[in-house]
Amino acid sequence: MTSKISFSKLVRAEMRQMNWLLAVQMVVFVLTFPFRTLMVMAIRQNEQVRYGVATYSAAEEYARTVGLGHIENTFVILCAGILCALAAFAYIHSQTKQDFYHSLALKRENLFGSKYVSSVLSFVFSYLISQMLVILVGLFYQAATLKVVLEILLASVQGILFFLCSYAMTLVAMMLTGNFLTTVLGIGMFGAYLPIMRLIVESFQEVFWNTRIADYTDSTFYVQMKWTSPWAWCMYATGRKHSGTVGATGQVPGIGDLCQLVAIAAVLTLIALALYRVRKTEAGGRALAFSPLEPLIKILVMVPVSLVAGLIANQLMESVAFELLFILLFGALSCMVIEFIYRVDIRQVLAHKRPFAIGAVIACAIFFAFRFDVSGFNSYLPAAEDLETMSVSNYFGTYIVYDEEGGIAYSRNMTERLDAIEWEDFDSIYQLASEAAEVEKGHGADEDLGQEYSYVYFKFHLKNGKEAYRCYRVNTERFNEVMDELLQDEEFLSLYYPICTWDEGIMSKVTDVYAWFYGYDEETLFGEPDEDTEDADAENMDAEDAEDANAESELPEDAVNVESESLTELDEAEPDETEDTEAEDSVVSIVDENGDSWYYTEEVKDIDINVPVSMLPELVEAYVKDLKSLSFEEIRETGNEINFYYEQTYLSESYPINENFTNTLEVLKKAYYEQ
Amino acid sequence: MIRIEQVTKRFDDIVALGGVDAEIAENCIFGLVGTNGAGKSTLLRVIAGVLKPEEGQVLVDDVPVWESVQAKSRICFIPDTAMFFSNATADVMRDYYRVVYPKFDAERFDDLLEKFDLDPKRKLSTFSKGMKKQVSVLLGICANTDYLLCDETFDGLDPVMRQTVKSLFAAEILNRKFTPVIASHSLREIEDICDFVGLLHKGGILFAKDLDEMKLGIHKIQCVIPDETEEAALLAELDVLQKEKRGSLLTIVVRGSYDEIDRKIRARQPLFSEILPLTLEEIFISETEVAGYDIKNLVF
Repeated sequence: MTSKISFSKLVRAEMRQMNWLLAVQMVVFVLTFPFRTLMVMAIRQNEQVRYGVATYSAAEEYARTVGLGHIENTFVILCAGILCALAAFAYIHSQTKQDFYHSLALKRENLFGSKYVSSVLSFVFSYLISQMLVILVGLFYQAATLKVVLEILLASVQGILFFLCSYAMTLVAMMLTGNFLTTVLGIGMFGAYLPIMRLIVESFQEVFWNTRIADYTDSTFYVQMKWTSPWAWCMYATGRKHSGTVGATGQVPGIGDLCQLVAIAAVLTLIALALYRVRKTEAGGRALAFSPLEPLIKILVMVPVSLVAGLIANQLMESVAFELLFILLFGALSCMVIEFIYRVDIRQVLAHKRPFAIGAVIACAIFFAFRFDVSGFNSYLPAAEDLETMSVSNYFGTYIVYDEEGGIAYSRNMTERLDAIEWEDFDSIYQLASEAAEVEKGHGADEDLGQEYSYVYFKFHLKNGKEAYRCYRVNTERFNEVMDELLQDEEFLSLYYPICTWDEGIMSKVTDVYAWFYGYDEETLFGEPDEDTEDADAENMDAEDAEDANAESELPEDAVNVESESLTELDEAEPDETEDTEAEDSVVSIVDENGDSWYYTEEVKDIDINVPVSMLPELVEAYVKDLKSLSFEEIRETGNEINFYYEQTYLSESYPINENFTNTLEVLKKAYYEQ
Repeated sequence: MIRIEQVTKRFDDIVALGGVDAEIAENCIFGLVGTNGAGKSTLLRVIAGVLKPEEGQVLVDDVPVWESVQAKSRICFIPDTAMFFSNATADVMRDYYRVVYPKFDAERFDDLLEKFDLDPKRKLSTFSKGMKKQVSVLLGICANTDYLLCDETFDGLDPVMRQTVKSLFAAEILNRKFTPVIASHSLREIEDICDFVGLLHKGGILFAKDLDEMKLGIHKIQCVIPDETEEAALLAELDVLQKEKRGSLLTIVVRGSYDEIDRKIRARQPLFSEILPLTLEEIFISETEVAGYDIKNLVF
């Protein structure tokens, strides 16, 4: 008769063997969650008692400290996942322990299950206890509302899923390896390899695809990153915000996100179990459990090391010979290190050269494909008939784009700007882009093409749905010519400058308007003041005189021969130091009694104009009038902007302004002297 | 019965077991001897279901042992280095064994611990090598499985303890269905306890036989026959496995029945003759020499 081992009894027995793990987790979690919350609340209370007021109410402070979105909590939970997996399955790296466990009358999956369940329970138990204590702290300070408690519970569910992802990923690494060192390296590989590879690819694109428009504010990059490892996924899910009515912070982990986490944990666990079933007992103690993986891992490690080495050589020497040398040298070194880890025998580090050869070929192929732009990325030009629309712009200003539901979508960067100004009648844009592509084809990225070329941004929206963004060098005159032609079309003008379409509804959402002019004084900008503005002007001048007087009084008493010099004069004397101070600073030189000259720069007052919202329709009308009357060259950007702020948010829309905008300046002048 | 059928186990390029065939009958003590690296531990691990053979299989009462709960529930394996949890005491190990070996006799274990003068509350990490061996053997015996696989179990035990453990094994065999399989590199260590012995060498079993049968069928004779013609005739008559002559003293190892050999020697009118008991080592030397191996180089 067969006597079966009770699974539940086995789990309990395993948990008893892992009391230490429970204790360690308990201490860490109590310090991380309830103790930290207690400290925060106590400090807030102390602030309240000492100063009579605290930055946040108790409920707000509590809600800020607990619940979702805490990256540090996620980090601790991910570490717990690694620790628990290592503790539960460390036996697979020990021959003695495997002799014992694998001789038991248990199916491998049951043994796996008992270890899995017992270690996961040790986490869940300690984690939930600590979360309960967090709630108790909240109750003690009368800060735990039902909403916050609900958020803590949701955070706990999310935390357990984070743990399971990290735990299962560690298990997969353990199943593939045979000793502690390679397990740690394996965990690092699973957790960080693809994120590092993604960053390496990003670096290559940054360095070699000089016409690329990098967009780090775009969520696409982070969405891509989350797919690179379970850790990245968890970190991404931690920082992800969802609007919702549940939870004190207004954040809710989306059901979709939670389901994704469940799926990741489940898939990784199944992979680990499958590997455990086929893993040979004798693999314990070896570097890798599956020896056919040895060359593959060697190549996988060697390629990124070689690529980074090649990139460093490129940045330092820009020499193909050195790049090749670095790729081969560091590739060989990484292979030798890996071989040493495999064999733990220095005499065998040069063994198995084939993976090195394959890795070197792959690394060289990738590196030089980027280096010499084999894909033609930097001069990309799709066939005109394949294009749905095109966009062109050279202005970095931000625009508020209204989504279909009337909500504000923020155009933060060039790609979003290009998305907003797609144009179907793109023949002239295409012609410009093709000229630009030819320019890029014939000139290196670092080649100076002179003042007559400027950077222009293009978007190619293909009929197959694909989108490509490029920043090409374009002949400025040709660009102005094309833009003048395009801006003749009212529709394009409205797309390019959305202010042209503003109605009362949009203007009612604008709460603040600021215009900034750097390095201007009133006279240069507005000309002679009108009579009715003279009084205000005089007041401003008095204030400036007073400031100057104060400044002079701060000069050294023994300074003599104080004189203002023009910038040109100073340029002759100190060309290096004053190069960047054009029109913004005036330079003061002081000659002391010994005849030594001392220079310092004195900032010219910039002009900031806060336009009352009541003047907004007048301002908009004047601005649109100017836009329509000026050529594209005259609209040119000088770094001066009018900013329109929306509904007490940090969102703003900015437009270029310069002295050619005469109608607008009239309105601004009025606002300036009235402010 | 454990039946080992054409079991081959490789570790990379090394063939640890090469097509091993053997049978281990129930209620006997099976000794597995061989040099270091002969494959004894590997064979025990394969029998215990720890290692999966590349070829062949091990059957416990016709049930393949690999991943079979039924077959493995009848086996307890005591490896060379016993597995104890860190900071564990004998009590802790007893509690764990009670879970993983459902027939574990905890009372008997406590009783035996007391008899062996082992402190159940003391950390096992503070025990000597021999004491740890004792605990592991007691755990194995009290697991109450039909088969107990012991890898170098007597290594590290003092002679008194060795005898005590042997007695325990004998008592178990008398009281219940119990078959210990003892692997050792020393013939002397197991010759007075084993019923069957298998000699493992370079991954293959040279032979496995009943020890008594071997002892009854092989004899060592010392005799002096003055007539050289008679001596030559005698040697021709007998199935001589080994022969050595010092002066006029002839020492031979002969296969055959005691009575027949004795009759043939007396017929040659020896000045002196004596049939001596053979040690296990001597039997092995003789048998393996017949098999074409120089056992002296293999085992001793």
